[in-house]
Amino acid sequence: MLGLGAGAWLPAVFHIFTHAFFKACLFLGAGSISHSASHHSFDMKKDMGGLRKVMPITFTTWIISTLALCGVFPFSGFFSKDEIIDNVGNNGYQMFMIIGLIGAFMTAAYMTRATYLTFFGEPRGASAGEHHDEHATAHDSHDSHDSHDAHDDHASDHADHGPHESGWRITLPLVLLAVLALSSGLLNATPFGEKWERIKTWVEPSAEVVMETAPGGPGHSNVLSVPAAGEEGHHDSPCGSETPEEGVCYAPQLVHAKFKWSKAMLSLGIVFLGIALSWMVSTMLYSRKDKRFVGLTERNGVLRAGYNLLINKYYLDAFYEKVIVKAIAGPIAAAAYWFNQNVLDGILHAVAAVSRVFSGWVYRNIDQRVVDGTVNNSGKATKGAGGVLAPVQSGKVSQYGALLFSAAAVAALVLVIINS
Amino acid sequence: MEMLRDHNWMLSVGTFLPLLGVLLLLVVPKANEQLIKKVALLTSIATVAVGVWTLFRFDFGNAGTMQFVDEKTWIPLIKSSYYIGLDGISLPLYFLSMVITLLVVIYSLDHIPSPGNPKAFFSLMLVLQTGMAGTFIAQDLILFFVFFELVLLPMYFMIGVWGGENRQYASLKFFLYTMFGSALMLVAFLALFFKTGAESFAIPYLVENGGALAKNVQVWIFAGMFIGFAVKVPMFPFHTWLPDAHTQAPTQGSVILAAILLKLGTYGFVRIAIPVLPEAAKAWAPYIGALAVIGIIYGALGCLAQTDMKRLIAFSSVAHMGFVMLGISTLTSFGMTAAMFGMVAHGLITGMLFFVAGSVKERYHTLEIARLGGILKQMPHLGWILGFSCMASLGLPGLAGFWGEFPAILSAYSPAAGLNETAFRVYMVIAALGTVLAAAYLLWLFQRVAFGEPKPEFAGDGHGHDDHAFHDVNKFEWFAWTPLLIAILVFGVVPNLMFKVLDPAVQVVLTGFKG
Repeated sequence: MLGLGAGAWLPAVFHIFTHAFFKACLFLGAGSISHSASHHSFDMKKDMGGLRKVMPITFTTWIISTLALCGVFPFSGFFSKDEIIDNVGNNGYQMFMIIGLIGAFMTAAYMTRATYLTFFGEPRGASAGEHHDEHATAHDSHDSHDSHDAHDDHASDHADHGPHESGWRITLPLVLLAVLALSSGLLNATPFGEKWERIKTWVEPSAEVVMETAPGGPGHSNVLSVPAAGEEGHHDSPCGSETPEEGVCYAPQLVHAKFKWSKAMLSLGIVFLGIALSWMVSTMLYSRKDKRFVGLTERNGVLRAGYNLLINKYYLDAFYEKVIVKAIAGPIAAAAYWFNQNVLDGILHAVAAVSRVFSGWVYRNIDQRVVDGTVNNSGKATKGAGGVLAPVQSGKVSQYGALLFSAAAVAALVLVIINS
Repeated sequence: MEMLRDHNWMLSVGTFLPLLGVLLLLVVPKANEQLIKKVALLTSIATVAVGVWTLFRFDFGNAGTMQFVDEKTWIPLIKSSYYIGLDGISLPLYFLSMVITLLVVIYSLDHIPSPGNPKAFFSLMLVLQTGMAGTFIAQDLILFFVFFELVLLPMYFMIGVWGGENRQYASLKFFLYTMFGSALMLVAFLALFFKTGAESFAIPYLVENGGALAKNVQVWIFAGMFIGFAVKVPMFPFHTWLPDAHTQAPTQGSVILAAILLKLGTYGFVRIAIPVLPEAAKAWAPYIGALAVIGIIYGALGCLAQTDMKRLIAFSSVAHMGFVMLGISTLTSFGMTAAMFGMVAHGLITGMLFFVAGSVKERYHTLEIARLGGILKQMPHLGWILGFSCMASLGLPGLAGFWGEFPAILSAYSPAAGLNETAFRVYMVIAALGTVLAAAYLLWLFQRVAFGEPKPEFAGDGHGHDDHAFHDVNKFEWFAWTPLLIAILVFGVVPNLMFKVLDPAVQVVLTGFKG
């Protein structure tokens, strides 16, 4: 996203591509552990640890993908991620480049911690043989498709129940993904020169020259001005590799940062710093139980607040669920419905009530007294005259209808007169 | 205007065939229910057959041209004639009305609502069909009005006789509300007639001459039509008859109401109000658009507040027709085509939802959402059909609902020249938010009634006391529903089947805006 936002489209798309392999490999690795070692738990602190010995394939693929995710040379993430950071800076977004480097540092740190907790140290919880009730049955099904178990490596009384490598149905995809995580970066290996940049030729827009000037509206594209290519840019023309002679160039300007090992070394250094620091802290915290670190979040108020904020995912879920969803589905929806039932229908019912009162009044005072009175006095046939107004109060739908029709005719006449 | 007059008997036969069925039903003794059902079924099958024949005969290359045109003297005194025709806008709705009636008849073979009397029930349904089909082919305002009103009576009786507990109130409200709208619409028709020289009620004639009227005259005449059509659609704030009528109506009535009757209003805008009065349409469009998006949000909020499944589905129509009206109010061919598509899609999907609601009610004897649950466990087929319909209704890409909703929203980005672009872009954003609410109320409904375990009061497997309590979808239901489910999927995957028919006709409707 950073790459897209800062105009580094090519590395952004490329990163999505490489990311697919190593992140998929990591997820599958996590699944492999949960399936075969930790009894369907994903709790690294509680149920894992020391798994590198019993799950060598999962471990190896995990490490490859982790290094790819961190952007370590020569894994795929290096070629894509480093390019994003480099290009972001090159396009004039120094601030974002620094943030990107901080992000790379933190990625290295949290992945190292996760790796440490999962694969190093002593087995804990389910991985140490503590098992849930359903394990006995679950394990039978595991065994049936396990081609190579790692039970022998696990010197424990719980050999039958203990963690073991997953079957080939899990490890084969892991290996394939790991190979891709390792190699897919070479498809656009900028450091090795332009002929290695294959993805680039597929992804980059080719300039389209349109002779007439297009009017505004949807689909109208502007020539995007990204800071001009300097001496470091691959292309100097505003239209990428194809410069139109005349007309409008409908391709955004593309500028690529020129790869330099000095810049790559900076980010690699940061990544290794992250790995090293995280490893140190993890060892002190989880292995040696250093008193200075253990329980720090409980002792220090600032750190506790930070920890709570993180553990609650910045409270965003709570905000969405407790505030937005609850308000809309609760009081706001109820208020709208109340409005519907009481205000809108209330108006309707009021109109109906007034009409009934009015028609009753017409019946008593006009129909019965005036019309009937006149008719009775004159002694003439009353049906015609009575028929005009009697239906008004009858409550029969068809007669309301007739009334409306006649009202419509009168109103039409009025409208015609007004407008002529 | 160019017209095709071949096979001009076809529309009249298709429209009045149901009335022939009614005549036959009249001579069948009331007690002979089997024969009554047969007559009704055969009549509606024959009607659909004529409809299919019409589809074959329809020149799809000329979808913008009126076809099968027939013009006969009718009431020369008021210069009204029996003038009918069919183009790409009318065709889908005309055919849909036939199919829906057939499916409703099939469903009714096994589901005559209390208090029974299939003879009257089927007769009313067939009369209703004539009214609906006639409205979509009428090319004369008086003829249109007659058919438009003809629809009211059978529906009034359907709700009033076969409806739920509060049927008296609902049916009267439905009738009076629509009547109120019709009265103003008639005023507008008459005014239009007189102002264009009292020459003719023919729609093509009025399209040619209506545009020449002064703008303020147009605006007033449009106002009358607006009320008439807006009540029928229904648009906020004229919609309050709808939740009552839909909820109280028997399942068959709800299906027809949602699938066809609501479209009479939107069709009226597209066929009459907008092409005849282009200047007024431009003046009114921003207000119509505003009411449309209010309806989208308001309808969705109403849905979220409901505790009754059927009433929730009814309220969702307010929101969905809001999308349709938003598309129409852009006055662009893109928006209107989307709206027309949305009308058919809503007919298929909401019709389907009402069918499911009816079958849920039949089995559980309640539609109280809080009392339902675990339908997927007790009746997996019914549960999945409900889920499918909910997904379609919320506008999932790949199903028909999406192609009515999404292009309508998109069309608001660039309304017709002369309309306030900023206003419509604000509408676009609000409407897009409405889709989120639509997903919320439909998925929430589905989650509450279909997932989890059945509530204790319905938890029995039906073996103990009532063997038929929870049988899954039966064969009558499959027959009635399968065509709808298929159509929802097919139009979802290949929307161009309908777009290519609608678009040329919509272009013709909008010619008044290009000159």
